[in-house]
Amino acid sequence: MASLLSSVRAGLRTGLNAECRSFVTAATQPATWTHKSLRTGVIARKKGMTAMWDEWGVRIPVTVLQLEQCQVVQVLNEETHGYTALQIGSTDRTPKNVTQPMMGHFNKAGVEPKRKLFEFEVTPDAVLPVGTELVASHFVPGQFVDCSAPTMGKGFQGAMKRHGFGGQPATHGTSLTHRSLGSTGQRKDPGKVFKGKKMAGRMGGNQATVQSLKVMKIDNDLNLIYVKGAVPGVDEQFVKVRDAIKKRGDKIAPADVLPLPFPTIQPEAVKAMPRELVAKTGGADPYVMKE
Amino acid sequence: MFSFTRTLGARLSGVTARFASTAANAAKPTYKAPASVTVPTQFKPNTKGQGLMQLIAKEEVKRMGADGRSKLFNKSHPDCLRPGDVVLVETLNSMSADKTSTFVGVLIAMDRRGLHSNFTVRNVVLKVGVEMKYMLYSPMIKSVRIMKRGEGFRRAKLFYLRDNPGRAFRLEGLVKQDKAAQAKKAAKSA
Repeated sequence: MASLLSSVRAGLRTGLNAECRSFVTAATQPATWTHKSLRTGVIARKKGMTAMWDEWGVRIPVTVLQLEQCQVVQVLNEETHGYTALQIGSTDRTPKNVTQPMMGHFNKAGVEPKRKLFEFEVTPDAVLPVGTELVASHFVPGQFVDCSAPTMGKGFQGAMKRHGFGGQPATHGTSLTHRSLGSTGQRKDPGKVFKGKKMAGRMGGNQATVQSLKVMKIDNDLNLIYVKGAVPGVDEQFVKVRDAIKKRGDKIAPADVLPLPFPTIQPEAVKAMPRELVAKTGGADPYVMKE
Repeated sequence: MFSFTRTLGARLSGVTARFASTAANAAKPTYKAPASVTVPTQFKPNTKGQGLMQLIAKEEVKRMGADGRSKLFNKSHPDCLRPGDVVLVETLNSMSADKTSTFVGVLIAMDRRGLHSNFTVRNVVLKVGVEMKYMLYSPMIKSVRIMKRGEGFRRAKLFYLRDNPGRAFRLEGLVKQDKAAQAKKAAKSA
């Protein structure tokens, strides 16, 4: 029964030959977390938004993020590179579409070619071997994460939308200048417009980080993370998901799910989990009046 | 017509049932959900023929609509709600206690949005028009009962009733009748 379930899950997880990409476990014992440790993040794809109801009956909007073949491609270390980091790759790609230099890079790591590569700076005790697959259970329900992604492009926009300028009055004699910048500087001194003056221009498409989003649900079969709230960017966007930087130590997750899987979740532990795990909001019932 | 029992407790399913206790599994780690984590009703995912978002929306509808409330929005079901019906909606005040609130009114709008399906009920209470919008799959909704079928309403959205109510909101007699019928039923079953 268990083997049937795990083979079903393995088949669902990758869609490819799951056996050839078995989890690469660390040769040594998993390192122990200290308050100075920094785990790796993952690359996920924003799939869309939906809603769920928590245990108090409150409706919570959630963004669905999916991990697609998220693996460690390179380990950067202090001696060679000057800092410790993991280069994570996401989403397999057909080899015929990959340039030879990149193909060499992936062959050195022994992983399939990836669509997106990002670096995550980690502490030396959180280093994972090349080829390790990162799964949704790397995060636990109830913990806080930061999500970074390029924002949706808005095209060429005026100063009112782009920088929140006030514009000019709609009436009282204002002629043809309702949404313009207004003044751009002083007079003879300095006699120029300063560099970086906020003006109309292309808006959107730059990286934004939304901090401290709560992980409401984890799906182990489809490798999904449901985060509360919105995440920048369009659907199918590559999103960098990391443990929240402003909630270090004991504040990152409820006490009974700590410590977080360090350096990442063990494959046996994932197999033992049910498919879906939902975080409770906790606290007091918001619909009960406080005495 | 139908009342739904609160299924929150029933949705917590045991994890250990998934793994038969064999010698091989005895060595493997088992997962015990901590207090801050719920294990909802589990389904087997099947992405064939539909995208990821469609699949998870369907699963959530199955989970939240386990008490059969989807039939209220299913046109081919005889118990489907129709605009113009007089409905009685019973909602839990909170998930901690069993106290409920009741609202009776005319169903003036139904929005079919999958998991986010909702309907609007309107009544005139103490000379003040009140509209209540309910999310169909909200766990706070205990029951939705049709007190009287609407007749002669030829629109999907009855927003015109805000300006031209006619006799649509003369519901006191109906409520009285229904209360008496409920009391009789309770006395019979007791």
